[in-house]
Amino acid sequence: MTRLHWLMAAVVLQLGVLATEYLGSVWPLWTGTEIRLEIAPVDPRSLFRGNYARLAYTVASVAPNLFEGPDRKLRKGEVVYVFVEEGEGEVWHATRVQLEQPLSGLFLRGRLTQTWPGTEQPLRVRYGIEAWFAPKAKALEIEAAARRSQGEGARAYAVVAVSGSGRAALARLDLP
Amino acid sequence: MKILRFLKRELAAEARSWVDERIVSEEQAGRILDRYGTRLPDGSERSVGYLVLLSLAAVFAGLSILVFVSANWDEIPRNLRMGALVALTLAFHALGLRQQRAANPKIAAVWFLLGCFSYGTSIFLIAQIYHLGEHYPDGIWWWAVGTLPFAILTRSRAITWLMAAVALIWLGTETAETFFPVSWPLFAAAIFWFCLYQKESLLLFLINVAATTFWIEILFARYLGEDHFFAVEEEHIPLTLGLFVLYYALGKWMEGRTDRPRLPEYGMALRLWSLRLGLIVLLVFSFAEAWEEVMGLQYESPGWVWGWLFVVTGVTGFFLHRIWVERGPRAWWDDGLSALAYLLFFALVVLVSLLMNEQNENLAIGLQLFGNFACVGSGIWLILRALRDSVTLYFYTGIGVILILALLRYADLVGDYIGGSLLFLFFAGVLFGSARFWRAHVRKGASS
Repeated sequence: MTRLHWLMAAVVLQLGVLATEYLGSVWPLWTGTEIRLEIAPVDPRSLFRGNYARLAYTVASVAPNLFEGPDRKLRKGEVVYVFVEEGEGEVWHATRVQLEQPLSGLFLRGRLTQTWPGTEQPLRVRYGIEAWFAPKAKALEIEAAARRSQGEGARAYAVVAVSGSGRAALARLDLP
Repeated sequence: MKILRFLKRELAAEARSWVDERIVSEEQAGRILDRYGTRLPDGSERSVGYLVLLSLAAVFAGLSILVFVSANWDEIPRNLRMGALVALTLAFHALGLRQQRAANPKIAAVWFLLGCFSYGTSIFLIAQIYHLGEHYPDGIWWWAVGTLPFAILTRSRAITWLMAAVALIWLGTETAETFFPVSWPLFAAAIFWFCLYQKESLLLFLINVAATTFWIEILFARYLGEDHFFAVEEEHIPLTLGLFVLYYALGKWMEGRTDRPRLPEYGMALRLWSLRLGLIVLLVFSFAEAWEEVMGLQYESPGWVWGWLFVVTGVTGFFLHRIWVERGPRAWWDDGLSALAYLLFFALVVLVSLLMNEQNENLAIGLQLFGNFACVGSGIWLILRALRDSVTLYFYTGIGVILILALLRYADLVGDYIGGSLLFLFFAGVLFGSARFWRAHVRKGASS
């Protein structure tokens, strides 16, 4: 193979990476099950506000008694699988957390962002769907709507598609 | 070997003006420059300048694309955005392949550089389009991995810098997210290969050494930690000190390998930086408290520390042996002795930490005295080397060590006023002696 051929192979590698990323992104939207997750209010002081709306989910905060796994210290960034179940108002909530990928059932794949070993503080989980990218004005409007909804009783929701492996993709927002 | 090797281009430009002014002949200038691994400028530098400007233009164009597409294209459908990004990346690479085919590899590299920028941008924008963000260092890693083959195949300085910069960002972010950057050696190997066998880049070489040192430190932290946690323990002190010793000995050996291009320059830089870091450590050990801290170290795995002491001694011994074999005993006294002294200082610190189980004030004061004399000795040695070899960098480093030590001792007034006075008298004697030696050296040089 000449250097030109190797360079062509390198271009193919880059295209392959982009294609894999694209397919990984759309796969849950094409094949996944749609669930409604409640959006919790976000900290309005974030320095990065403006480029995207930050979405905090109620399922991102999981009670430590829902964790089923080895009795060891959990670390930040560790992959966890959170089982979800439909509750009142067609809203889904967390029922169980584990470290091993389940073979069946509806669950979300996430990563731990905060753990409080030896306390009753909830585990914080990031699912990779916490940012809704939008122009600055629109992003701020979404965050404001999410905050307003908490006081008025009407709730803000995100409709999320979940693939069989637990990967979630944001389908749309359901704002009051 | 002179520091002038770091200023090759300036030296070549100066030599050209000496030839133009008929101070030296072209042949003489060529022979002078040959000593420093360079040659007289012959006009080809213009094309180098053109390529550098073109590459910089490509970098800024790449950054422009990055910023422009980062703005949310909310109105444009997802698939169109996605298609445009891939098409742009493909278009840049197609232009690069075309130039490569037309035997214009340097112009091709500029297009490939733009393609790699566009590729990285695409990774993040696809994540943005689909609102993804689970573990963002993965995106940075894929960018570095996708750029790596282009860096190797084109041997382009700009693409290698892009790959190195992205890989370094990944190294930092992956570690910050408490994950171990397993694949760093792949990037480090590619950068070392480029620096050693393709093009000279002292800065890239040093950055790579620093980053790899960081990687070794966190690898060790991972080894000491449990359940994939990083644990920074007392063992990191001998690890870091030992690495400095190894770099110094390696630098000394590389410096003498004038038969290999680039190796002497990298060796000199490696040795200079490990010397500076070693002198800082030595200054720290001019305090009794530092020795007491070392005596109080409680290692989790003392067996490992013993092992590391033997490894550092063995590898440094190997380099010292090579210096003896390759350069002879006389040169060994010049080049090997300081490496041996560095090793002995490291061994002393490690042995004190291993053998002393509790703090001993009297011993700490004795070791503090040793630390102070070692500092003064290093300062004098550097000044003498500077005068003998006409290397101003050594001279200022030596003077700097002595002045900082004097300042530290003035601050804690060791041995009360009489002791302090004697110490300063000693420093004055050292500097006075150096000045006399310098004058004698200058006179000798003038008469010969």
